[in-house]
Formats: sequence, structure tokens, C-alpha cells
Amino acid sequence: MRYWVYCIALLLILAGLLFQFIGKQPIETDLLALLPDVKQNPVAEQAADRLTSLLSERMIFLIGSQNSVEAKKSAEAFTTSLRESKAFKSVQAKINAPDLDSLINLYARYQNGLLVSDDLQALIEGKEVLNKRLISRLASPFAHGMISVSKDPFGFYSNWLGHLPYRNLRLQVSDGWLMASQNDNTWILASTALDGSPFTPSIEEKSLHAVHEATALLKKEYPDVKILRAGTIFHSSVIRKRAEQEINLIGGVSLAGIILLILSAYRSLKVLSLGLLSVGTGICVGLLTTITIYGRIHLMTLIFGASLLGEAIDYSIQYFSVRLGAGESWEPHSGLRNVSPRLMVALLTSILGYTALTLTPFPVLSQIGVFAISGLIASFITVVMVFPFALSDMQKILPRRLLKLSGRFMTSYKDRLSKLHVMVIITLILLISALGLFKLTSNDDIKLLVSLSPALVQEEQQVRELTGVSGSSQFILVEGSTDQEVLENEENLGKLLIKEGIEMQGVSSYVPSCKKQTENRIIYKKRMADLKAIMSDIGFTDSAIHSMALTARNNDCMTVDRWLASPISKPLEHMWMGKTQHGYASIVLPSGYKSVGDLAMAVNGISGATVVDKPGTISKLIGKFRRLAGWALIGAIALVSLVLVVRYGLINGGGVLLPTVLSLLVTASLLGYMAIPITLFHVLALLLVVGVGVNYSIFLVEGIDQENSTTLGVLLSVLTAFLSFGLLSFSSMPAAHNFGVTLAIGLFGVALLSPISVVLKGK
Amino acid sequence: MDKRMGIALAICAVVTGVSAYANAITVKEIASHVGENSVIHAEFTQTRKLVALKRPIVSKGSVAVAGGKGIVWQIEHPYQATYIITKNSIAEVDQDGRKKSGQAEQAQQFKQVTKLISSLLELNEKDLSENFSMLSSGTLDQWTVNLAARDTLAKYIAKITMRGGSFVDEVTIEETSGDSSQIQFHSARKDEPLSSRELMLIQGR
Repeated sequence: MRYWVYCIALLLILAGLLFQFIGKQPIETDLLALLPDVKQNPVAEQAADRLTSLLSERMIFLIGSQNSVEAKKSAEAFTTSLRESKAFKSVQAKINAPDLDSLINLYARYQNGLLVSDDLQALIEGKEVLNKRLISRLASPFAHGMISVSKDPFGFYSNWLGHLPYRNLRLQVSDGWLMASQNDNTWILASTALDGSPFTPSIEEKSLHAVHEATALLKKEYPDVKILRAGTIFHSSVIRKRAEQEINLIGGVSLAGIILLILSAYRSLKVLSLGLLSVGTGICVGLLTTITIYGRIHLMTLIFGASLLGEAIDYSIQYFSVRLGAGESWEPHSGLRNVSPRLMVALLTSILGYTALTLTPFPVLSQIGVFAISGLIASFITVVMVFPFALSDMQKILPRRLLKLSGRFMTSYKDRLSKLHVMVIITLILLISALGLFKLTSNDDIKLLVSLSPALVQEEQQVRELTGVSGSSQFILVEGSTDQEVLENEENLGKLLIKEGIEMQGVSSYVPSCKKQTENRIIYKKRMADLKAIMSDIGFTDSAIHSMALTARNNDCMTVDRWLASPISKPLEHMWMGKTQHGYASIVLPSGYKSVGDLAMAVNGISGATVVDKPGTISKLIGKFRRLAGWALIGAIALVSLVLVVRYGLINGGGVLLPTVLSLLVTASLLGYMAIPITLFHVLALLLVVGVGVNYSIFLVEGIDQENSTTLGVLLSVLTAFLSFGLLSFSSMPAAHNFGVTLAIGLFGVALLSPISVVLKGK
Repeated sequence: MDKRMGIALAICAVVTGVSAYANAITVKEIASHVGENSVIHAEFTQTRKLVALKRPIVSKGSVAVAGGKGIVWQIEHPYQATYIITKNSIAEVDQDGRKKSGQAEQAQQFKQVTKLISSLLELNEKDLSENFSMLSSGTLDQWTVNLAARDTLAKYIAKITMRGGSFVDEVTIEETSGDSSQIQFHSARKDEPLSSRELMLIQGR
């Protein structure tokens, strides 16, 4: 009866799950969601987001050909196809050429305050220098500048406009297209704005489909044309596809392995289906709990989750082993009484291991913890509630050969190992591990979390080079109490950075502080009489001299607001953050520095300037959590040993824990010997070795009176765990890979050593 | 895009001898006639007439074209200055061939200029025709080419006229502002080797 109640409840859970999945598409693929919130300076955080969103909600394309006409034609075809797909919020192709006139007009009124340092120097030096400059300007066929000699005789304004760092943008406008050239190739820029977050599967699907169609069309009509892509969505799509494959592979292979192992040991489809019921329940409940708590589930959780199969099956295996061992005397309820204590101890130790994960501030890790804990509890409940009713008869066909083998494995251990031997083994392991541990190094690079497709990264790099647009996550945040103070701070920063050979791009290049403009204006006005005299000597007309003199009249400053109001500022407006909770702020992009350390040194002590290095900050944080996880490991061992001592007493409890501790040391020292730096994920895996590995000793010690079947059960458990965690080591995600390898090695070590617990107890 | 481009362009056209995309005479014919990829030396006189000036400004000097490698443009009067034009840049250099400090870094518009120059150096009609429509007349011994600027360039350059025979003799650039420049070439010599200073200027830096 209870069997059916349980099955119906299970169906309801599954229905609820399906509803959740279809309703909200709760699979999260945003890799940034892996990261804990870094909140040192909220303004810096906003600034970082601002820069990231430039690439994250866009797709950028460069369409290249050796023939510029063909490049333009194919860009036209490509963008038309993208536009017709209606998959995007907007598709940007041709632009209204940023008119040189609107640039000239924007600043014209304020030109008496806008001087490049060279011209300022000439104005200070005096008449002779200025006279020479004017003559050479008139006689040279090359030194003309943007504005005609009649409107800007000395070229001051031309020079200022010419020095604007637009040259950092390598793009130029040709027939309304933004164009970059390199070697013989012409590249045309096109971009799209996504209809939403790049991590929303529906957005991803329709956007990539549209790009695929447009690319196919292009390849058909212009087979020689090349396309370069950049944008977060391409990465997230690759990662999602890879992750989905991995989930299927790891889940599928470990499921197949489990089925094979159980069938070979217990020779019954009914046993198999019960085992799968327990595991299935665990996974469904895990999913449901995670989604209920977090709203969405991260792909990474699913990958780790798929590998949980190997652990969830342990409870069933123990139950089946007890039944196998009991033989004719099998009675379901006394069997349950026999098996449930060890299952409870095992569950408790596992929960302790996973709780440590749940408590980390990494959203994904805590998700994995919640997923595992709820799933394991559900599997456990299935075993104790359903199995006694569903499996009331004894096991009829015995796997004699397997039982014999397992028995021999255990007896050979027991026969050959005395307590003295055990002591020698322990000493040896301690000695060897100590050396390896000494060699351990660590690595907290952010790349541990994410491995991006190298081909895509290279494409993005190429786009960056061609366009001159950097997508750097390292920048300098400049703050001040007023907008003028921000500009002044930027100017001071620029002066100091240039001494270190670091160039910077900031709003102050386009809008000098009013202080600087006023200083320039005073010098300019002072020299007015000389300027007029020089022009008159050379033979300028009176009207030309008069209109030059008019430029001296202005007393206003060019301001950020005026700049922002012009379409000229469009490509750079993200650099100005405007009013913040601290005052005003802007983003400055430095270039030409060797390392962030150098940059931080150079910026150190400049008022209002902070180097923001998001990857660096995150790496530091990862390091912090790695050390934290190290302490959690020690804490977990302490807690588990407490549970074990309460259950088995001091000496036997220690004996049960010993194999796990030894295996931890061996695994960690192995990393040292192999010169693999230890990462957060290695430590977390060690944490789980404690939670899971100690189960083997528990099972062996508890099932000592049915030695053969218990040993067989533990061997099966080890094999399934090895299968599922071992498969995780094939994951393309460095985190999952490190985690899987460590767990597989660690658990294998525990399995090899756990007969020691029996030896220590037995004699 | 600025008119520096048009002017620099015209000069290069002149000195490299890319001149007539004539119906009667082909580019290849003209190019080989005037001396494609060969070293040419000449003297020049430039006369600029500006609306803002009461009298024209005249400058004089010499030019050396190093057959596709670059151009040395030396002004001797009314002051001394040397400009080096290579495929990717135009720069004023001092006596030792060092780039003069304080010169504005090349803006994008300027890069367009140099790109056009290099397309001229390579006799790349395709690139040229993107910015100019060309009309030529005459014979190989006495030809005229009119270049009419297109698109953005047309805002600044009204018309460029080139005349020549065995060499380019004269270039006239008329700007939309009413200003104009005329450059006349004389004493042109073909295949006189580059002086060591000219070589240093082109290769050095």
C-alpha cells in the first residue's frame, strides 16, 4: 500500500517539476552567476557592469573581403537578412557619417580655451615662434589640418580637434559603413542589439538562428567573404551546448554502468527498477528543491548533479547487500532494522560534507549542496519506505562468483594485515604525503571557473585589434565631488600616468576641465595683439584678421553636459558615469601598462582614482574561499569524527575515519608531486571525500557479520562513484574537471584503505 | 577626411606619374611612359592663393620619388622643412631624419590619406576611383587629367587638374573654399640614384 502512495507522490513531484521547467525555463547559463557578489565599491561595480554590458547584450560582426565593394555589398546582404529575421531589437549597419562639421561646430565657440600643449607652448614663447609656424603652415602642402587656413590661420583649433583620441578607434566611415582595413582586407562593422539577456535560451536560439541563416546566405552569394564575431552570447551558447552534452554523457554512461553493475550482482529486474526509483526520486527532489529555493538551476549544478547518481545508489546497494547476505533468513522488516543505522550514519556524514558547500557564498556551490542534500535524503527515504514492501522475498539467484571474489578480497586483507602492518602503512603514508604536501602550490585564477572556446576568444581578439575597441575589464574609476573635480582628477592622473608610459582615454580628453580651459584662454587672449600683427605682416586680409580676433571673445567653458548633448559623444558616453552616490564619476581606460600591479602602483595616491580589476578581485576572493574551504575541511572531519565516536566509540570510530583521512593526505600530496596547483575546487572535492568516503568504512564495519555481501556492496558503491565522478573529470569546465579527478582519486584511495577499519576492529 | 588628402594625393599622383586614366591612353601606358617604379627627381614651385591672403604664398624646393618606397619632399624656400611620405605615414622630419616632436599623431583621416597615397603608388585604380571620378584627354606627350572628388571629399576639393608629357608638369588643386594651390615641376630627371641622405630619410626613422 505505502509503495503506491509513494509512487503517486513521486508522479506529482515530476508533474510539478515539468511545470516549473516549461513555465520558467529555469536553467541558468550565465557564467557570472557562478561568482559571488563582489561589493567593495558599488560605484566601481556599476562601472564594471557598464563596460561589460557593451559586449554582453550585443553581437558584433566584421565582414571582410579583399574587395571593399564586395565587403560592403555582403555586409548589406548580411544585415538585411538579420533585420528581416526580426530576432533583434535593432540591427546597426550603415550609420549617419559623424559629420566633421558637427565636430567643428560643437567646439568652435570654446576654441580659445582648447589648446594642445605644443600650441600652448608656442603662445607662451611668443611672436617669433608663432610667425614661423604660420609661414610653414602656409607653405607646406601637408600641414593643413581640418579647417581652412582662412578660418583657423594658426591651426590651433585644427590641432586640438586632431589630437582628440578618435585615432584609437581604428574605424573609418566609407559610404556610411564603419570600415577597418588590415593588410589587403577591408572589414565592415555591423552590430545587433539583442532582444534581452544573452543567457535567455529563447533569445539565444532565435538570435543564433538568424545569424546562422544570414551567414549561410552570405557564404552562398559571396563564398570568399569572411565573418568575425564577438559577443557574450556566442560563448554562452558554446558553453551551454557543451554542458548539455556533458550532462547527457556523464548521466548516460554512469546510469548504464550502474544498471550493469546492479544486474550482475543482484540478478533481478525488480531490484534494478527499485534502485533506479531511489536514484530517480533523489534527482527529481533535488531539482525541485533547488528550483524552489533559487528560482533557477545552473548548468553547473546539473553537471555535478548528474554525477550524484553514483552516490545516491549507495543506499539501495546496501539494502540489496543485506538482503543478499541474509539469504533464506531474509525478513524485510528486520532487514530494514539491520540496514537503517548504517544508512543513517552514512547520510549524516554526507550531509555534513555537502553542508559545507551550501554555506559558501558561491551561488552555484550552494546550489549543488542543496541539490545533493535534498536528493540524498529523498533517495534514503525511498529505500526505507518503499523497499521493505516492494522487496519482501529473498534473493533467489546468487552471484556466487562475485560473492566469493569479494570475500577473498576482504579475507586476503585481513589475513595479511596485522595491526603492526597497519601502523607501518600509516607511517609510510604520512611520510610520503608530508613531502608531497610540502610541494603543494595554489592557484586562484578566475579562469578556473570558465573555459572559453579558444577559437571564439581568438575571433574576439581579432575584432578588438581591427576596431581598436577594447573590452577590458581593467580600468580606472575616477571620482570627485563635482563634475569639474572629476575632470581635474582625470587630468592630474593623465599627467602622472604619461610619466610611467601609460596612456589613458577619458572624458577629459574631449572636455578639459574648466580650470584648464580658463588657464588656456588667459594665455591666448594675452597673445592676441601679436597674432594680429603676424597675420597683418604676412598679408592676411582685414576681414580674416577680424574673424580670427573674434575667437578671443568667448569666456564660457565647454562642459560635459554640452558634450553629452551632441551625437559626437555617442561612442564614448559610457565613459561618463555622471552622478553617483559618492558624487560624480567617470571611467578611464588606460593602455600600455605591463601588469595591473604596475598600474595600481602608478595610480596609487592620486586623489579620486581607483584601479578596478574585476578578474583580479574575483581571483582574490576565490583564494579567500579556498582557504576557508580548507578550514571547513578540518571542521567537517571534526564533525564526522564526532558522529563516528558517538556511534562506535573512540577507538573504533577512529578506525572508521582513518582510511578517509589517509586518502585525503595521499590525494593532496599527489597534487603536490604532480605539480598541479591546488584550487578551490580541489579542496571542495576533498571535502566531499570526507562526506562520501567515510561511508565505505561505515558500511564495512556495520556489515561485518555478512562479510561477503557487504564487501560486494561496498565494491559496487566504489565502482559507481568512481564511474560518475571519474566521468566528471572529462568535463571541459576546469572546475568540474578538478572536482571530478580529486573525488575519483580520493574515493578510490578510501576504498583501497577502508578494509583497515575492519582490521582494526576485528583483532 | 580633409583636404590635406586631396593635396597630398595630387602630389603623389604627379610624382609617381599616375596620371591619365584616359579613354585613349591606358593607365599602364601612362605609368610606364612617365616611369613607373623608377626613381624620379624634380624641382617644384608651389603657389598658394588664399581668399584670406592679399598676395599668394610661393614656396620652392625639390622632390625625390623612390619608386614605390616613399617620397622625400623638401621645401627650401621660404623656410626649410622635409616631409617623408611612405605607404603608411606622412611625417615632418628634422635634419637628422628624426620625426619632429610635437607633431600630432596620425588621426584616422590622415590614415585614409596615406592609404590613398599608397594606392596611388601601387597604381591602384580601384581605390582611387572610390574617391575620384577621372577624365583624361590628350596624347602621351601632352596629356591632361581631371579628377573630380566624390562623397565627403567633394565638400573640400572642387577640382584637381594635372598636366604633363614625359613627366608631370603641373598640378592645380581648387578647393571649395575658393583657395587654390598650383604646383609646377621642372628639371625632372629619371633614374638618377637616390642620395645617401634621401635613402636614410626613407629607410631610417
